Amino acid sequence: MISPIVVVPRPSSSIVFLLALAAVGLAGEGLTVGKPFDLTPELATGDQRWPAIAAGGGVYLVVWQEGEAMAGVRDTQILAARVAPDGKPLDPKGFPVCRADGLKSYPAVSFDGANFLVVWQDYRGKRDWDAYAARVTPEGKVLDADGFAVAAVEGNQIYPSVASDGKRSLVVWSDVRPSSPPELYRLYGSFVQDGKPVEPGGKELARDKCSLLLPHVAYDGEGFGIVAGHAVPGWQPALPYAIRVSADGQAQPWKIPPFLGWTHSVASDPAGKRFLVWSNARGEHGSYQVWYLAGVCQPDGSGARHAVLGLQERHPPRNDLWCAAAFDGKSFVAVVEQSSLVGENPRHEPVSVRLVATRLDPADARPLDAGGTPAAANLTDLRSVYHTPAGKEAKAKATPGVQVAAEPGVQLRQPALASLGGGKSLVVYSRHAGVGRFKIHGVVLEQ
Amino acid sequence: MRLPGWVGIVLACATAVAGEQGVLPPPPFEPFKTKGFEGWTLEHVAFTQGHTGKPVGGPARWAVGGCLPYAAYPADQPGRLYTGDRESDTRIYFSDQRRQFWLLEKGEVWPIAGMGDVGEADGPAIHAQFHYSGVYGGHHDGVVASGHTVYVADNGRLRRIQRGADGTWAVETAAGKGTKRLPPGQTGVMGDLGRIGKGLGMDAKGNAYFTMDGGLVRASPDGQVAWLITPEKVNADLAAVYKQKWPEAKVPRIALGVGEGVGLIAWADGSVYGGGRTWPSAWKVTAAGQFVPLVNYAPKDKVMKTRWGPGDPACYEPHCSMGWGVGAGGVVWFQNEIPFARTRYEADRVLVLQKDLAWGLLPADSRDFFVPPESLSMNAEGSIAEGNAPGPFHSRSAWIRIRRLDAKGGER
Repeated sequence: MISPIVVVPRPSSSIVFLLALAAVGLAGEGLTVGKPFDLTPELATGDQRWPAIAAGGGVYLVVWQEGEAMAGVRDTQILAARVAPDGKPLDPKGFPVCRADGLKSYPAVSFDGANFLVVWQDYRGKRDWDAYAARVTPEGKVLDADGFAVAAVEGNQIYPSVASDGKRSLVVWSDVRPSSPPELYRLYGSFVQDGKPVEPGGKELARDKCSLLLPHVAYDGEGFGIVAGHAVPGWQPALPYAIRVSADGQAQPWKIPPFLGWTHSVASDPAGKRFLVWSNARGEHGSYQVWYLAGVCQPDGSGARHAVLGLQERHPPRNDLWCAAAFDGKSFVAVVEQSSLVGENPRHEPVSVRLVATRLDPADARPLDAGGTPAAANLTDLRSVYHTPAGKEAKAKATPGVQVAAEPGVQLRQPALASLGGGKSLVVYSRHAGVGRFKIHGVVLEQ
Repeated sequence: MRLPGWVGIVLACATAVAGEQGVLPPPPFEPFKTKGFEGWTLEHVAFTQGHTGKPVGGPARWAVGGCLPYAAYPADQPGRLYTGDRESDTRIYFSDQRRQFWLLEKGEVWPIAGMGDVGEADGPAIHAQFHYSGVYGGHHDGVVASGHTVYVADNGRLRRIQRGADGTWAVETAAGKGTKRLPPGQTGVMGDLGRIGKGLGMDAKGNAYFTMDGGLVRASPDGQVAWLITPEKVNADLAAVYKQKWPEAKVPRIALGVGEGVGLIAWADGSVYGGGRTWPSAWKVTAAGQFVPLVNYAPKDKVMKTRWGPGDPACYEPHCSMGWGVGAGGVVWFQNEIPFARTRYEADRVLVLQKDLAWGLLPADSRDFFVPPESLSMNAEGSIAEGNAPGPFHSRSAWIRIRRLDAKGGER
């Protein structure tokens, strides 16, 4: 059903951009931020990380990983809790999505029009990682006790991501199998319908000379867009590249404009047939500056991108920089981590991590709460935005985004974002306020 | 800093001892050949497939982590090992760019401690914090391991990562939390000490060596500490060398443990070698407590502009050390960054590893030195290979087991 394709490697040349340095984003008066809240207030402690969120059936479903997959650790769990549109926790103790023994990591979730489909990677067989899933109703009932295998074949099936077209869900993941040497991860996927994988074990969607890792999928009204990290060797960043899976399951390359290669997130507006890519990159040597590039892509691959200015001056190396995006019915919204830089070696050690958001024009990804400049693929490297005098001036004048949450000495990490529409969305994140105290918190955004 | 042009697949290599079946993963790891390694067979052992920020343990060949270390060190240098002990050359510890420590054992690789957060928290490994963050060119230099215990010199503290009976790991601070210094000529207790310096070594008897206040300290397994050499003696010995070699020159004042990537190697003769991005670039302290500078310690106006050639190794400066070690006979070698050449420091000359894997004295402008394919390099003496500096932070890393073939093509 899903046809394998071979992805042609991107050129290694640097991304180039057309700069319009005079362009600066509009003021961010339109986005209001609620009060942060604990999703599971009746759990005194937690070790909750890697939240994911989806909206549907009048509620948000938040899932996360409880514990961390380490040597000697027997179990980690995938837990969930629902949140009302106004931010009220509906499951203050949370509930387990899967009770099976074994390590479970990195959940993702989507809503298929009737139920949520939670996916995660699972080590229950103690042999390798498999992709599992379970349905959860908007009322919070888990329909698939212990989950079901989407792909449990020899090799690793990791980093599952899921999106739905309103009827079916497409689960995609990174996959490496003994039958596919060298040890490079490819993209696999399978539709899931009525609690069963349409293609058990999955079908290959794409392969390349380098591993394809951490895919993100979204449904844009015509098909499923998938953006994954392209783990090229050496100093080159893992540039995102994209494929599409059509409604009939055909996979093909998706020649969207290039994006940056540190971390990325995707979102979609199915009604408008628009697909957003938010991407980050960071200079490791010297500047430690973070670059942001957001773009809205059409199903035919055309798109408009903006370099985003003003969100973050610098971010320490060797510290991940996570982001999230969603369409809230009026515009796209993106949330990124921001670090303070203190310590003995201030470039290396974040102490406080805040969350900052900006809305993005759904037509062209123009930042509405931060500075921005249109980017094209044929003139100037994005470095110019940050390193030329004009670029530095534009950055200095740029609106710095909207602060979502911030606490001194506390790290607010791994944001996830979803919307029930109407200009409202819910940001969830792992709040790290001390040793062993990671708890999922949330904030309602509204415009 | 300009980046090396060779950056490719990051590679760290582990030795293997023929006959240790069942420790490293069995086939289908396919042997492969690569240019420059005729006579050797290489096998993929473990990968980190990319820098996703979401580590994936499990079968070693498919692991995903935040970049493997810049180098793994020869198994005949127990003071510099990531390998757990001599019983198994294939238990390999490494740290990644995210302050996370991993163990490769029995074909699986799992994080054992550290979640990437900066801090000093001890306790269950799942919550432990480290400062140790993988400084470019030398983050591996403050780690030693013995059995299922790993020691880390971590921002002035000596951290101990240890596996418990239930298989879980825990972290405690063995030294550096206290306030006491170690007066000259006195001994003390490791746990009472205040901040320690950079660099960490361990000998075959389990004695740990670390720098403190510019000198070098030995800690016995029972936690007793004593000076191997005081900072005053270090400088007195350096002054004596200068008086003999360059009597007109001003003697610099030095402190051991200052610089980047400071590493210590406890050598079989009881001496302790030190080096890294330091000045001098390499030195040793003999078992009798004498400081002996080895590489790059001449007055500035005496230092050569080339990386290898005839003459005193005191006058040659390695470029931006990407790793260093001690080879047979106690001879120090360095991996330079630019050019990406391996140099070896003998008493009267500095040799370079040539394309034919022999040490030689190439012309200064020659490009006929050995450039590791895909950042792979190896010890010309033979039995071990090591990884070199990586492309840093998005690199796909690979661990390679190397076995040398005998004349008939079989494994030695």
